[in-house]
Amino acid sequence: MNKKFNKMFDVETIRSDFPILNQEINGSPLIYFDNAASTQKPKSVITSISNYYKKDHSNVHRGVHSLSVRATEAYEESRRSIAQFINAAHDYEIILTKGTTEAINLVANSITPQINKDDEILITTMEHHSNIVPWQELCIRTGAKLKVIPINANGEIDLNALSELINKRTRLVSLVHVSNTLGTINPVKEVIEMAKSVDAYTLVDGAQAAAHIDIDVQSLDCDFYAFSGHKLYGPTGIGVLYGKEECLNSLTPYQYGGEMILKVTFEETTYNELPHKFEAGTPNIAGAVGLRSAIDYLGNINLDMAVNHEMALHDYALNQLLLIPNIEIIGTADNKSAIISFIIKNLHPHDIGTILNQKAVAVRTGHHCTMPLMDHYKISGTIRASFSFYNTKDEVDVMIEALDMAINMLS
Amino acid sequence: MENLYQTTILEHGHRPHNFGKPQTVFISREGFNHLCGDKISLYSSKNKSNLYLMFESVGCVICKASASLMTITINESTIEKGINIIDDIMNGIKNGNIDLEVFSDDMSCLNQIVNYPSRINCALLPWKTAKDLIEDLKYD
Repeated sequence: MNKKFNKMFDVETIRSDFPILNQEINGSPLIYFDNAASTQKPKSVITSISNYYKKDHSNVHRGVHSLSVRATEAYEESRRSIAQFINAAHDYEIILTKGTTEAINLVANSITPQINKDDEILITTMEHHSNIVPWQELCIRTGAKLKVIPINANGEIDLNALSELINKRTRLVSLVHVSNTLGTINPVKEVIEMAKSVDAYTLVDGAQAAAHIDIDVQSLDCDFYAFSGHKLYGPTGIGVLYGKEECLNSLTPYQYGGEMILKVTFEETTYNELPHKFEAGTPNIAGAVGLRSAIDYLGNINLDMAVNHEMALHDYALNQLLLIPNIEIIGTADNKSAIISFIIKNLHPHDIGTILNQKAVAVRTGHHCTMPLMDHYKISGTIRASFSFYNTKDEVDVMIEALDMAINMLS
Repeated sequence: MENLYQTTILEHGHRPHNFGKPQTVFISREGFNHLCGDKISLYSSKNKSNLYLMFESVGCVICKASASLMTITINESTIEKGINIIDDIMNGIKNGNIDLEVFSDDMSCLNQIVNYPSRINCALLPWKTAKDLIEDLKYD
């Protein structure tokens, strides 16, 4: 199962595209293993945002002057690019949001009139808080029940349990494509098929998947797919809700105001068509421009080789970590992304993380916004190293040395 | 780095004073750091007489050491004095200026936390929780 490094993949050239990597922290070269929290940005993304503000900025839609036309074209071109990136059938099925969290909140809010007290919403044990709390609130509003699909010891969805949980009362199944804590790649297509058999809506939280897996929403046949720009080498504050045309049209608007209307009188308002019905107010135009640039960047590198490199780093790091006494890997699914969560017996993740930072190794420690998952494993948090194609084998070696140092210091 | 994980922090973190649950618990309070999931349970076995606190924690070394030093510092104080000490120390942790002419030299390790902003809440958690518990005692 160990992936091999491919010498044809030129990491140094890739790294030169990411200016932030070229710096020292506490006197040592930065090693950024916190990519599951947010990825760094290539020069092309940074330049595209800067150029947009220098040359093209105005408000979008309805303007007759040249700058407004250019800003509108740039914004809508981003929508087209995103639609192609995930193989949506129509550009207007792409709703631009602040991020994954807002995308999920949009659906959870706007679906409210369709949910009744006898309905059930299904999520999994490994969900991020952003795919738990909006559904809890929906259940509070409607009286519906939130049910949780269990996972096995490896951190994989228990499909047998799912087949028992799913029934004609199930109105929506929402699950993460790739777990941000465990790295598990979920069998979303199978889950979606099961949900379709009872006519339930399906939503996939793709925040952690979009940068590492080819997304084809038509092949998945999901009703909704959500992801963020900043985990995809794009800017913060921009994200995507994909929805099938008929599903989006079945929802009430999320926010009300400018852009999302066709006609307003003091007596009544006619809402705009897709996608504008769900984009009230001036959108994050520069964010959309930056996200398109990030998608272009990913299109210009060999993504298969890049993902192979990430998994080679994962496998190499995992083998090194397993040599450390008293280590426990949290999340050992067969099908994984390049994320490793681990704990070391009797040592607290925060202490380890602070000492790693002294050697310029950036990892994330804590519950990773998955407190129910931490409860499932009966732990308070983990140390999480998450890899990108710009990371190197040498950086993994430094992390392992720093871990040895931390363990010696704290023991 | 040695400034943070120095001997005093490690000693108190690994072998904390007043760690455990007293046989008789008059009042208890839980503290929770939502950023990292750390928890501390503080117990008082006495009512309105001088303070005597014990704690249990699944927190980091910084949190445990801070809790250990806290119990040593405020136990045997009156409720009013305990609150004053807690206010002084919490300000001292945030600003790195705990007055070592007033408090034990061991407290100097907590003056380093200010250099690690992401860890300040770890050190403050026991003191915040103690303040809540003492306020409960005061008005019980």
